[in-house]
Amino acid sequence: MQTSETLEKVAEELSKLPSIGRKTAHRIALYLAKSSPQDVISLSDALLSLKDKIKLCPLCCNITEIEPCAICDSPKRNKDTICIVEEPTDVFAIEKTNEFKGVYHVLHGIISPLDGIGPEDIKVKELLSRLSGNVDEIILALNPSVEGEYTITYLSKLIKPLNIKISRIARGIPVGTDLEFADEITIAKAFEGRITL
Amino acid sequence: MLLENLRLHNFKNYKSSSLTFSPNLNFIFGENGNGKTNLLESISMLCYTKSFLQNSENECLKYGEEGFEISGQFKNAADSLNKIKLTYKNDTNEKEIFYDNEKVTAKNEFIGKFPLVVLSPKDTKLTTGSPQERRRNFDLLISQISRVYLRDLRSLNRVLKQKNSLLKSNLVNKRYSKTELRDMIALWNDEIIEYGVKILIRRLDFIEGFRDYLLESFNKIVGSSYIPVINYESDLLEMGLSETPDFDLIRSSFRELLDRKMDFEISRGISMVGPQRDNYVFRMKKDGELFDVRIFASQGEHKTFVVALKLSEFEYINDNLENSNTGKPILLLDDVFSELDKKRIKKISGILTDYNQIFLTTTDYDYLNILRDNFKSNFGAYQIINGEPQFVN
Ligand SMILES: Nc1ncnc2c1ncn2[C@@H]1O[C@H](COP(=O)(O)OP(=O)(O)OP(=O)(O)O)[C@@H](O)[C@H]1O
Ligand SMILES: [Mg+2]
Ligand SMILES: [Zn+2]
Repeated sequence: MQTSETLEKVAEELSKLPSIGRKTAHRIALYLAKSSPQDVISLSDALLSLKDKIKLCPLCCNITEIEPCAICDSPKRNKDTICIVEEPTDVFAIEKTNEFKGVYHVLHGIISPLDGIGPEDIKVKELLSRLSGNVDEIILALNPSVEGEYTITYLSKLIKPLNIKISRIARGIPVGTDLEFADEITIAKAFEGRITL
Repeated sequence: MLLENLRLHNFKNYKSSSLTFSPNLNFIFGENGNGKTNLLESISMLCYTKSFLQNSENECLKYGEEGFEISGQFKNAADSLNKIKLTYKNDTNEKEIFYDNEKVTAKNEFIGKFPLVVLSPKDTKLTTGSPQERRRNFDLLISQISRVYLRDLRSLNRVLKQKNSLLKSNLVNKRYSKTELRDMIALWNDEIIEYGVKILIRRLDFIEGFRDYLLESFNKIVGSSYIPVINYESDLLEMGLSETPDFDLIRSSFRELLDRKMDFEISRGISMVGPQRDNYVFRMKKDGELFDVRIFASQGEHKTFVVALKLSEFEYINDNLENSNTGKPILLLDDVFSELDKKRIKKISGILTDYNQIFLTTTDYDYLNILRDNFKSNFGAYQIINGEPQFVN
């Protein structure tokens, strides 16, 4: 089979994306090569503006197009309570339940030596700087994985001396299920039954 | 549990095959290298989601092909039918399992639904090999009757991987000072204790109950001339603890040991404490002498021990299933008769009718005559020639 270097390059880039294999990547590359110029341009523009417009909120580190983000900026949100999550998708999952009225802090990862991620590599420093203000309660809403447990213990050891109430969401979420995939009722229940640490 | 039929596509040396099975004995014969073991391996993949020979999916893919598919219909004790399908594609190196056409997302939850006991020539490693072989064997056994155990085990393994990774990388890149590292390791150790204690206690509990089963199946095969003994060895138990499980005591001596060994672990860059280092020891009493099977047993005695062990696993699982609708385990016997004397072969053939559905492989068609005496007409015979199974009348 004759291959083109350009096609190969596109396929190679695509195969770096999650759950896209070598063959699928080739199929998409070929599909794009045959698509109209407008379609390809609008796709590449959309991709570029991802990097252009999307920033991290200076307060909660969630992804946002405005600074601070809509949640941090909202007068209706209770700034005394911070819910700590791993990823922006977790904020999205919790917001859907409409149960939580506080603000968030997105760690952008979880402590995992296997992935070369230590406490310095996630937004812990940013969290600590927020805690000097008026924060009453911290809710840890991390996934119940081995790394989640570790990060919970690590953070609660850091926060304990600051005299802030710390709790973790109840383990109603089945082990092995990410917060992102749990349904709304399960998440809401997990918040209700949170455990003080 | 019964496997009613099986379809293989591009699995090892099978191109496309369909088989229907007997609920009793399935006698599978053929010359060396024709695919008998491969067939059993495909059944283990459906039940365990993994090969009992620990082959990767890629190694099970027929040479030159892009994906394989195994599917089978099971019938449980309540007569309900379930179809399991396992697919693998080498493009994405992805394995998918479908339970009644619905994709299974948590593979852990699947183990034990289709209980299976396998006896293969590789199992000589159980009596001759390293402690790891025995741990793996019993971990799989206990996992089939306790999902909680499987979960704890996976968590412990994950914690150990994380801790080892931290220890090892810091040896090289010195990212953290000794004090920082000690603090971080201590947190991983908390998790090791949490899961480790549960695992240890479950294993002790298992051994306690399992002993009688082993004794009984020994009795069935060789009479009372041998008495098997099985013990659990652990650094944690050597610290003055008896085998009577006490959570708090084990927890505190576990912590003490972890603290004591921490600097050593840091200098070596690897975990040195935990149930991942424990051992099951097999001994036999014969003519009043107690001897270590690994060191002193003869070839045939090794084999006898392993056969008895596997048959007792069958009974143990059967008596301890979480869900009574599951029904008895399926038994895979790969080359079970080789290395055994005529007397023992007769004995084993005689008791096989006490079990559930059996898949038995051999190169020797003549064994069917011995088995026929016991199974009457309750069997199916299949000849495998170069990956092509043929039903034989
Ligand atoms: N991925 C694969 N693709 C195609 N053929 C394979 C693959 N893996 C193994 N085989 C073939 O399968 C054969 C071995 O099959 P198997 O181990 O089932 O034999 P067997 O019938 O059990 O023989 P024995 O009596 O010696 O135990 C070998 O000839 C090997 O080349
Ligand atoms: Mg074989
Ligand atoms: Zn914000």
